[in-house]
Amino acid sequence: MPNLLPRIFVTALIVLGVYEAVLRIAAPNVNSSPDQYTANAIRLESYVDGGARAPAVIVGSSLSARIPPDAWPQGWRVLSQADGSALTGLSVVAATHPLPARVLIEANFLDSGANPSDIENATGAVPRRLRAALWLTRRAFRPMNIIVWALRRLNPSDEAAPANFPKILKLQQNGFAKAPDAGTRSRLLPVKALVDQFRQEGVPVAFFEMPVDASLGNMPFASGRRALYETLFPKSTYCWLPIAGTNWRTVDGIHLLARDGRKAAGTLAAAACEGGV
Amino acid sequence: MLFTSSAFFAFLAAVFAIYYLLPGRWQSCWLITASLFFYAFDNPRLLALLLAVAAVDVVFSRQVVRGRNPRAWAAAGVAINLGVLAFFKYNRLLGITFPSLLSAQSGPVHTLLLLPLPIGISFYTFHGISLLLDTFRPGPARDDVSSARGFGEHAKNTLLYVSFFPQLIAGPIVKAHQFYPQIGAKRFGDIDWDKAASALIVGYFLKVVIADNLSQQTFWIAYPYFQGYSSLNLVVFLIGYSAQIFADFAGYSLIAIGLARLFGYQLPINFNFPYIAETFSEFWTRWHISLSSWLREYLYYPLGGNRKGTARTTLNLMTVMTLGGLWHGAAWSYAIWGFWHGAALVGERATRGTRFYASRHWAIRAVRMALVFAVVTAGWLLFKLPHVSDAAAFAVALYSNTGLRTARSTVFIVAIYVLPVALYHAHYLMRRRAQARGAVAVLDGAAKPVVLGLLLSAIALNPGPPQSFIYFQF
Repeated sequence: MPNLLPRIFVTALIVLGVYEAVLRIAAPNVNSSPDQYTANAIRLESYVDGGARAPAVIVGSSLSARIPPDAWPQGWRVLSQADGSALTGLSVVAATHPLPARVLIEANFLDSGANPSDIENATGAVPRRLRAALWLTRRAFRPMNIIVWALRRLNPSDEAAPANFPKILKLQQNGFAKAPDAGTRSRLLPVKALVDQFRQEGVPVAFFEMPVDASLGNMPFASGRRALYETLFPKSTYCWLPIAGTNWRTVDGIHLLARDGRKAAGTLAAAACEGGV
Repeated sequence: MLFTSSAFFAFLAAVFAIYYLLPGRWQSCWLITASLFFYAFDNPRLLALLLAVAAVDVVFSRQVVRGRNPRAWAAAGVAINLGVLAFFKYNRLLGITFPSLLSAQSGPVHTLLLLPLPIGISFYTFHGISLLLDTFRPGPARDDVSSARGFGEHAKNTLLYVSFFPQLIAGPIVKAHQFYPQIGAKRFGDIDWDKAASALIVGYFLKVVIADNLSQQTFWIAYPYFQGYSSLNLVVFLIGYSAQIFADFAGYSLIAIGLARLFGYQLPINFNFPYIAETFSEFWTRWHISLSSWLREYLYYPLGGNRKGTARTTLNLMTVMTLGGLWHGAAWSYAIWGFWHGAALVGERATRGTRFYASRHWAIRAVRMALVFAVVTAGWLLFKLPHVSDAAAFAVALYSNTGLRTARSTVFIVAIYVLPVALYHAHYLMRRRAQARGAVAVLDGAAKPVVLGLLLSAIALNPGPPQSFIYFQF
């Protein structure tokens, strides 16, 4: 008979049991992760497990995901996926009931494909039951996430553009100099299908474009996409919300500094209310 | 099928249960069937190539033992294995170097040049070469092949050796003379559960908790993201990648060793705490041991090793290391990586008589260790950034980004995940010191199940996003 195995398993069970008990007692409201993949998953899981009807859901890319969570109005849920797609967020919203009061779609990078495993992990019946029964299976409650969350509470970041910003902006400009490729339109069709589904179910949907550095806004990549959106989601039929303002400051050309992110979130929320979305 | 996927755990449970329910004479056949299923799971078409290479190994190794001209059969078999490996490794490089070959939109040449690299090919062709060379030379593998009761038994043993699923995709590269003597009936009661569990838990911890989480931080080494980070951040990322690639590959190797033990087979260790090495030559006796010993045995020694003078030794070292680099893939960065290590080995040989290498003082030994770690870690940049121009841009950023503000949280997170790798190596040093005193290190004694239990908890509580093993790409 093995000698080590029983003692290994007993130790592990004790550790897991104690950890679960501490989570139940402390119930920390964790929304941070040291990596963007896990942060994406935490956003999806907390939305699905939240239960209540959200007044608004925002889906999109890292451009909206990186806005400080407290910049949004009370109850608004952000399902934007850094290095991911709006389609993942839309799919999770479509699979979760009750549906939100409205859906706002960030359109800067709309054509990335959905991540099926993230959608399944967030909305699947087994993972959901597991998360309800054992809190330690929730991604938000991974020890490293709790450490990072605690550190960020103690020492909030004071983001600033790096000293080599011009060099980074030049790299972004190189990327934005290319027009969207021929496959972009077909990759947008699943988004259109879900948007039309929401509209049929009576959920108002609005698009918005996150502000980026002024030098990028009208380059072929951005203008080519706008032209494409005009054919699929024309402003005469679909609601497009403006984010008014100029001189937006970014970390790297596309991600707003925290202060400007707050301003953009406030402007968007006001536009949504004024536009009746 | 990833070792970390739920599909693999279901597969393992079924294979393991049936394996020990079967009579001994059927166990090898069952293991072969399971291994072929494992290999074909993601892409069944790749199975044809594996079977074709295995068939060559079966026929040619048999002829080496039984045929009239064993040298010719061995040479031809080795050439076929190397040819298959070279073709699939370098077909794309050919297409990139001679774009005119790809100018046609279709056709057999176009198709052949764009064939993807079959997973595990670098490992199973090296198994084939080892079999052919080991049957050519007197030894246990030759005895086992010649004593096989018939062609069928030899074919079965060879297919098991080439396809054994724990080591099929990324090693360890097991030499034929190490594996053939182990083939036979296995009993459930003979499983060394303690060693299997230790290897599996440490292996999964290194892979799932350390490597997969670090990959989310070292992601920023990619071009052009690193441009936005300070020099200190970039150094920390590099150290993180050094820990990640160790945890990823050593973790995989330990999982393979643990799995093999569950089926009654012992695979050689592949990593022996490489980052405590005080010299580059010692590093290569501790890192990817199965590849480095394979290259030493089947390439460096046949070339003359260090027995033919300084100039020839230098040439042999540079040749073996550069070829070892190119074994990883068809990119100049891998050749440069091999050259980098070859140059380090040559430089070390030239300065070996100095006081720096002769000293036993702990501080000098620590400096030697740090030097080896620094040079090895710098070399990993060529693995992370296979485009040489990107690696050069990273090196420039390392020097020019000193004025940028350091992202302290990133430093902290990388440090937390690097710490267990450092402790893992420190434990080895403590064990060595304890053994010198005739004692048992604390973590090898009563504390061992507690530590393994903690590691198991960490696997459950803090896994990183699932990532493919880095060495699968080779």
